[in-house]
Amino acid sequence: MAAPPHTLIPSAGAEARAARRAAAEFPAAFDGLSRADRRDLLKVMGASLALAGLTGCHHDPAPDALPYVRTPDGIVLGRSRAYATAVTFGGYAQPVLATTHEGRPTKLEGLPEHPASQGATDAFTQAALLGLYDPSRSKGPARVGQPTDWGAFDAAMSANAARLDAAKGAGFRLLTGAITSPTLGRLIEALLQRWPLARWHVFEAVNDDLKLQAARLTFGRPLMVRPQLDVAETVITFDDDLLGPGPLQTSQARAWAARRGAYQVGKGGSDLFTAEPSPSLTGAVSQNRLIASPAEVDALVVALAAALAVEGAVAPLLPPAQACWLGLAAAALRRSGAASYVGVGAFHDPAIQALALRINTRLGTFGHAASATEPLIKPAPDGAGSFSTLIADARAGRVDTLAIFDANPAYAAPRDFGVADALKQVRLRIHAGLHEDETAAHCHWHAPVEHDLETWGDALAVDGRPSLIQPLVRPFYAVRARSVLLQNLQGDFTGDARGLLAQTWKNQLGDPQGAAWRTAQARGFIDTPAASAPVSTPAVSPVATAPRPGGLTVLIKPDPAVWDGSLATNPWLQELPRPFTSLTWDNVVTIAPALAARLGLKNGDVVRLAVGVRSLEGPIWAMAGQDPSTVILTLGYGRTAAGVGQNVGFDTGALRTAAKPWRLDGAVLTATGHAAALAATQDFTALDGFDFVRTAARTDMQPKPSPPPEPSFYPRQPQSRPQWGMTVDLDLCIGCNACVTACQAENNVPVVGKAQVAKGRHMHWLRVDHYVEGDAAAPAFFNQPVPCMQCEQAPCEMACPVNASVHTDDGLNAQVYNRCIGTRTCSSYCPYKVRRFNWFDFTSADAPEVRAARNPDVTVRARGVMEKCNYCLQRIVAGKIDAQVADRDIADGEVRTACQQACPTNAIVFGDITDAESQVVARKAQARNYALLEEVNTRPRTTYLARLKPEPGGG
Amino acid sequence: MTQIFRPSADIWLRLTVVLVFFIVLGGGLFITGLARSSYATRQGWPIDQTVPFSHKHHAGDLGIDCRYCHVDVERGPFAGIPPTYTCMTCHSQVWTGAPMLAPVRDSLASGQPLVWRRVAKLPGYVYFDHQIHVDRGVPCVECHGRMDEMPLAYRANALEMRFCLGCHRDPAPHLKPTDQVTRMDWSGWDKVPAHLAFGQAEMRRFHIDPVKLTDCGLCHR
Amino acid sequence: MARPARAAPAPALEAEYRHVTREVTRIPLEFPHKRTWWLAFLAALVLLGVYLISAGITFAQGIGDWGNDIPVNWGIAISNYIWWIGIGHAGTLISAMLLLMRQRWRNSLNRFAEAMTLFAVVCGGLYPIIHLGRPWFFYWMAPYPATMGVWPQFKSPLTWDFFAVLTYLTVSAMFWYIGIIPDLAATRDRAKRHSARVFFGVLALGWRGAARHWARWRQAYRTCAAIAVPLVVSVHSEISMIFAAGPLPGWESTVFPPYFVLGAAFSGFAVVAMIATVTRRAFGLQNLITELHLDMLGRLTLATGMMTAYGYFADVFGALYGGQRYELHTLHERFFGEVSWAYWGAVILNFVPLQLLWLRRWRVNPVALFMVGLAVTIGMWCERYMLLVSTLYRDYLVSAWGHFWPSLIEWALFFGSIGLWMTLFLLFIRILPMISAFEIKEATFEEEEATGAAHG
Repeated sequence: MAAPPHTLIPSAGAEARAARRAAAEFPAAFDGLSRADRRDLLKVMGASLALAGLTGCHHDPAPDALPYVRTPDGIVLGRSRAYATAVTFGGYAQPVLATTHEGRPTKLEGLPEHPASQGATDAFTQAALLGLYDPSRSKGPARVGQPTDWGAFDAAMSANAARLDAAKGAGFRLLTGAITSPTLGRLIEALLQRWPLARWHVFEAVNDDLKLQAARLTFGRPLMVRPQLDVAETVITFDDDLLGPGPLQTSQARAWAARRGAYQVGKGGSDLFTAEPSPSLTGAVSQNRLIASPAEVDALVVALAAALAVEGAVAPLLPPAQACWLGLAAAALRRSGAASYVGVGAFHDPAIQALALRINTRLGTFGHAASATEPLIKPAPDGAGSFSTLIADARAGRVDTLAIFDANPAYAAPRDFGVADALKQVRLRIHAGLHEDETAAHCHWHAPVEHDLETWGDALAVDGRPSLIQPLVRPFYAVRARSVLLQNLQGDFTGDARGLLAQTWKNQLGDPQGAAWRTAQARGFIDTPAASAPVSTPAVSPVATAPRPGGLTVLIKPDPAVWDGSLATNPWLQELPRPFTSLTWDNVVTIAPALAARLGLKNGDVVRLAVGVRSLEGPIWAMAGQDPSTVILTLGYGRTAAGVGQNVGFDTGALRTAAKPWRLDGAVLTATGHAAALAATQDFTALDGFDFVRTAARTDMQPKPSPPPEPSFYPRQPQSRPQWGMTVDLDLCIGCNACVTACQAENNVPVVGKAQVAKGRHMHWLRVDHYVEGDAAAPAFFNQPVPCMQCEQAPCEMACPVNASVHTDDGLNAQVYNRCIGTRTCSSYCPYKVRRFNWFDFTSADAPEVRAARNPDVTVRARGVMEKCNYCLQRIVAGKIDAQVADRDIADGEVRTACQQACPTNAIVFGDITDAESQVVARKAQARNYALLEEVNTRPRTTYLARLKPEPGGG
Repeated sequence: MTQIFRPSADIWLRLTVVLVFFIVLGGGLFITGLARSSYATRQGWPIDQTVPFSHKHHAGDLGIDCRYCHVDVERGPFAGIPPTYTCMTCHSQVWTGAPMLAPVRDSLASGQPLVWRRVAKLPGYVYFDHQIHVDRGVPCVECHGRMDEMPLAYRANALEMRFCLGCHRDPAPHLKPTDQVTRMDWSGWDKVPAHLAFGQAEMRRFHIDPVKLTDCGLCHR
Repeated sequence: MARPARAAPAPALEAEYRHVTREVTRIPLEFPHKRTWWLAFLAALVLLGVYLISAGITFAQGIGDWGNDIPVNWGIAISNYIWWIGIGHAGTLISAMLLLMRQRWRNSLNRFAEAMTLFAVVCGGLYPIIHLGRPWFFYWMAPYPATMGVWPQFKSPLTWDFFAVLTYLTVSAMFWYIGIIPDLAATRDRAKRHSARVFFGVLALGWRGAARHWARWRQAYRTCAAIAVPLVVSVHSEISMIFAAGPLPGWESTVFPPYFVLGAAFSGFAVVAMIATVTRRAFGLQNLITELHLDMLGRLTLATGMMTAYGYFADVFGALYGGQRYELHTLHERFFGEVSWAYWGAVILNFVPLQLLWLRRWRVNPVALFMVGLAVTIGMWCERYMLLVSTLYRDYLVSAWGHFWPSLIEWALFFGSIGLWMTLFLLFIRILPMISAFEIKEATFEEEEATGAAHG
């Protein structure tokens, strides 16, 4: 089913009112205290006080209703529709099933049929939806910052194209971000053929350059090496966050979870060894985590190579602890042989990474637990040096026209490139992107592009399968597709995005009206994975271990939420509590507690971090389990033109250099004396002895007999069918936050801004608690997603004086927002503190486009109302109605909560606990199953599966 | 000591006390009464529309089935207000030049939707699903009244929460044969003895359980 | 029973009657220290203004203006509420209980004690409404025929609260008014200005002191008293349920109802003692509010104070004896946590100065009594605060632990509410006879009889 070009039909009246009221973009995000409409407030007060017995919501007795002029095919009012498409991240396609209501995209879900994601998503993909409605998007073309129309742009382009035609494109440069799109690739080739002297450059802040370089060192050509974590029984990661944020997270987490799941039931092993300077999601779930400075990590790789008799590797001398860890790791590798994988972080020295590749070859991993393919990202002609070449040429005045697509070097490139100055040397500068960002500010022309949800296009998923991108909604603004803009640069204004896309796939899919095309589009992707490339026997190159550097080593990593800064305008991601720190709306200088103690610093104290002449200032965060000689910084902050992400945090670009973008040795840290306010959602993480998260040995895995019902004065809950329940497997949860964002998108959870979060008023219905246990220098890490427990004997229900917190027959603690008067007793009584309160009016002043992103099946909560997770009640009701209309029971897995759906590791399972066949019952039957705060006797419907204890000799 | 009050003062005092009592009582009664009045609920107040569409004429006299225009009623939560195209299916043949239909023709020509004013509007936090009600045999007339007798549509019932609960707490009397949901006149129904047990039978057939029907989460989320 | 300090000789009885009535009624009629009163009243009005403004801001913008958060979603609004209602106990207790027990010495105290009660309950009663997220729907807590077809949730302690406080307010108001009628009449009769006569005349409901009036009046007064006494106990037992019903460490405790009632009476007597000493001094009522009264107040305060102390002990003991991990943790928080200042503040202010009252010479010393009363009043505030915050801010899940400090607006509301109380009370002492003249006469008469009989 091709997407009919819907128009944005506001759901009757509401959006019109919104438009009238449209105030700031995300007022809540700035001052929490949204400009509540006093007039309405008084009206409500008046109405309700005067008309006792009325619910006080009869504003307009007969609001307008706007029917369609002609109803689009298949539209049923109030019924959502799903379309298979994709959103791009880091150049890769993230295949999604996009839900629309009356033509408004309201939710992105993983594409179940797609082998890479298997229906799961990460936080970035969930938040991509809000990117479409981002009020800071540029709404029309601009010339030197002044809004203009496409006519002017076209004129300028055609004139310029004529000049370039004459000059065979001499001096024309195209700069893009990472591209996997076959169509864009094709068009760029065409452009280069037309203008032989033109050149194409690529700038992607977070890239695989060093990885590919390592592959070239090893195999003689750049190959993309990926672990097959569903096969790998032993995985050794050296500061390589395989399960961490990034385009690969979903597919690799899925694969790892598959292996882990098999291991849980005794099929094969699942050993994860991690050596890293600072805790990563991978390190947190690894059974053998070793804290090592970057230099030590390198040494360990060499040592491992030596231990496995890889040629050219000379075993360095290791401290006993590391030697012991290495011994275990090597033993495990020998055990698993080909079913093992050794990975080194993509930002490490290529020589070291190359060594890891050779270890893998030696183990015979390729073809089993690792695969090598040609890179999916289209390699720029100059490879890794592509961008520096461009800058050099620009400086030398060899660049006449520069067109920048989806890249923001002015912000994201290390300062010493001097991008701004270099750009000044270019005669005509054109910027095409979603936002008028820092780079656009240095360009003559800004051409706004279509968001992935409103454009035609294609891109490769991480497994190389091409995804077809189709529009779910007609563009809101005067924007153009990237492919079209590429044509425009050449003075061609005839092409349309769909046509250009069709042309790319003509040979494979034929005519766009044809069956093949329509099936492919309905399916959302074309099932041709990247062919695995044969790996030649590696070249031997001796590796010398670098001497341990003095001073601190600074590692720069992408931010787990706003990535390289390109997502900084997204309030969902800004307010997403980062793993381990639970920080929002900020980046920090992460150091070891020991170091903080030595310098007498506490969290939030601003320090000055200097490397040679370059330096920056930022608040510190003492991270348990971090190497004392390492400092971690994240990208993505200190942006100067980025909507809500503007002037938040500090820019790490000040420290990075073209030569050393990721790792800087010999850094010096000094206190500045003043402190900054940080907004963390969790103030305490020390588990010290509490049993909130439990661990169990795999040996006692046999299902436990159901305990006899303990005597109780209270009547048992009615056991009519269905009865909803949930389990969260703490052995599978990697704390990736996908569930949190999914919940936020599904349930219209408001964004409240840094000030309110700092006050402890964040609104996430589902939070991921992070705990550390043991010595702060080298603790064990635990993640625990905490939704509402849906207690069978819920204190909140007894507390509410007005019946706003009630128990439904199918076992939910429903919260009736419109009945709530905000006594907050329910929250006081809640032992899990999962309830969230609307301290201010967080919603009514949102911009109209932001309102359009909301899920119409969920009430938008008013000021002074308590809210909380309700197992996605709206989905349950919808499923119930479908089942009833079809006169059948609700099938297991038919109703899935947003968090469950998003979870890349299947840690969350939801279902009917009276259905003996259901997955949730199977999980609850396991010996690992336990209830949080059992002693409070609230009989939670949400239970947890204990994390598995590491077994002697791995496991 | 001089007299301050006249002898009648005592009477007056008692009177005032009584009066105050009744004013308070009356005030309470008045407010609760007002809340239930058709003034507050708009029950029975015809609403002017840009196009004075007569359900009496179309549904009553011409006997057009509700579902001809309200197509989504059997497959979605909203019955749906018909698109301009639906009006024009007939009015491109009949009354083609009628001035009162000008807005409809304009809408078709300009592509701008007709603007209707809602008659049966529920608050935003109430999620009512037409599909399941129709599917279970709750006839339109139960909530919307005798649309076939309304020249200009009006709200036949107050549509307050107690109105919904009245049915959800005791569904049986309101259930009718699923194949006759659009039937308007049910006056004769209860006369037939066989029909008295009909509702109960339907409840058994559809496993309708009033306990479940009064779950708050059913309509509020 | 204690004998009055001084028994007048029989011939002087008439004179004494006149004297008493004059002393009591002159205060509203020709008011002494007009100046001081006006100054005090002005101060009260300023605070009242603060109250109205901060309440207005909260109404307009939302509870977010307070320091509350998750987990501490109840701030000092609730602890103040409990504190105020607690203070509002002494009046009715003194008056009604002692009336039923025919304790004559009560007569000089009951009137303003009752007034104090009434106004305290008003101040307290407003808090739960202000603290609502959507105050304009407060009436949903009342069972009324709603078009929603739903009722309040009667399992909720807050619903009980709604009824308890409302009933208490009504009954104490009735009790107070009935009690004051005869004196209103007396004031009316002594009033010079016509307007004053009419004013008091209307309020006196045409009281002529006929035997029938007195008979009916006794009936009514005693009945009210009989109703009021159990209410005194019920109200704060019930308010304690707001805490005790929650499954939280430091709250879920069976000792709470008695603990709260006694604490309430304790704080109440403390406040009465303060007022008594002040008015006694201000209006030179030394021979109406005698040392006997101060002595009695001291004893009551001491008694209830020691009982409250037992409540503290029982609470700690319960936690230690139960040994439940979270209970112990909360206990630890109270002793050493962020709110330990409130805990130790409560313990010290409530019980250390209190020990003075073991000795009569301190009990009858107005200054000492006043200082003790003040200490207890503040101490009890600390206790309410401590009980609320120490449990909420760190209850179960470490991940959900938080912090709390009241915002400026909350403080403004608190001191503002004191302003509200002062305004009402100052108006009361200015306008109405604040000491029950006729009852004192009654008492003096009976004393006469007694002594006469004794002399034989």
